[in-house]
Amino acid sequence: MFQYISKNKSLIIVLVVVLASFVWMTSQIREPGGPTLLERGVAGLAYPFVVSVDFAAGTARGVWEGYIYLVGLVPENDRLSEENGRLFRENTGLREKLERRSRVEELWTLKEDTGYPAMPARVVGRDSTSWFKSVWVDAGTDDGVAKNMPAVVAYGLVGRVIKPYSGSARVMLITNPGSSVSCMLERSRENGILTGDGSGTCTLSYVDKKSDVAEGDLVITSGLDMVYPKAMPVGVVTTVDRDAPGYFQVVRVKPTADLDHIEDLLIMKYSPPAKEQ
Amino acid sequence: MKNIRIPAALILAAAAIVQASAGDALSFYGVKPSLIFITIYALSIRAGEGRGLLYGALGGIIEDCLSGGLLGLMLSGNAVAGYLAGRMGKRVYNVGEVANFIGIFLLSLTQGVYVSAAIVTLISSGDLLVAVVRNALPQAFMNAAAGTFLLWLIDRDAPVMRFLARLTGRVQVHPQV
Repeated sequence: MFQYISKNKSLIIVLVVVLASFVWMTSQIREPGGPTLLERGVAGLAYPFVVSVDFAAGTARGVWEGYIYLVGLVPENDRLSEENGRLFRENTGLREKLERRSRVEELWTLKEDTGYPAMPARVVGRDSTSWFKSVWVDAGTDDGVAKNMPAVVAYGLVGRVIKPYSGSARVMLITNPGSSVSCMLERSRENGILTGDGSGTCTLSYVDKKSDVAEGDLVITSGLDMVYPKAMPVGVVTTVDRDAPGYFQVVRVKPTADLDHIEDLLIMKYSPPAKEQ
Repeated sequence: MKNIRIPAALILAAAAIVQASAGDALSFYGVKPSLIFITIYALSIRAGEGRGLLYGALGGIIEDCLSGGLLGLMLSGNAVAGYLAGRMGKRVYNVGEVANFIGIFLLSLTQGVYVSAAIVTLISSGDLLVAVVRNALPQAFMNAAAGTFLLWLIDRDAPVMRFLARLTGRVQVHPQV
């Protein structure tokens, strides 16, 4: 027995790690809470590096794209070449600022439209795995961000805050397999629960087979989950399968917001209307 | 039980940071290679199953903390992958491009099936087969392609490294007999 254990020590440790992880994960599902000390520690250590790499990558991309663009235009004259380089660097910086400004303006208009207090946040990092769709933003509890606050862009719902840290926060996207949003179809007012599938699209579940659903229908929030405000655009129906086994249709939804390329978003300080007594 | 080597731990942390900040730049049709997984494979295949398990667990817990998912999911998934990579390294005599591609693909698929099963069981009530086909399979292909290329790139005998060696003059390539 002891011989077998010592011979297969690593295999036994693997099995113990898997079992212990399942117990750990189950306990997190039973009692969901804020970020743990371990997560805070790792996030705190990694955050400055992530921001630096993000900045460096952005700068390198700008310079490289600019080089490709300008390489055929730069005159042979050294003075003009130098002048061109300087102007190009200025131009790249200004274009970047202009682009950011237009995004912020869009968010500002959105903030005024929704009527809820909100704060803009910049995306500095993304999910390190391909399994959980989430983004890391540069606003945290110090800025008033709290758990479950909705995040939006001009084109629709992005997700909600799941892990607020002091200077940053983790936002779970609506395409995350753990995300569920109470939604309805704008045209027919049919209700359903929108869940993510981890691959960039969503599924509108619990839609009765007799319900009126068509491709191209706009999906909006219903506000029934008391997390997201009502009537936020969420996605567009791409396919409807009424022949799927079970009582419900399988409705696939493509998010209206380009979740793979978000750079700035708005975190809303939304509080659901009090329930009537 | 083996110990984790500090440089290996730092490489894993660096891979996690690059993945979290610039990983989307490598995305192809929404699938991005997992630099952490490739690093775990590269470290474990030479280190054996004991250290492979540790590298996998360390890379996994960092990935868990930076992904916003369930803590323990990538830890266990990557620990299994690291352990298997370590075992594979002991049995494969010549770890070349073909062995790397097949190895990374199979290990990544195994890890993907495990993670998909855990997600379907614990978080969402989706279909396991759909999750595997949509997520795990493309991820395994992407990891295998990117991993094989990266490992070829940093191989001492690869043209790039030979060119650099010639350039710096530090290593004599093809010494005259």
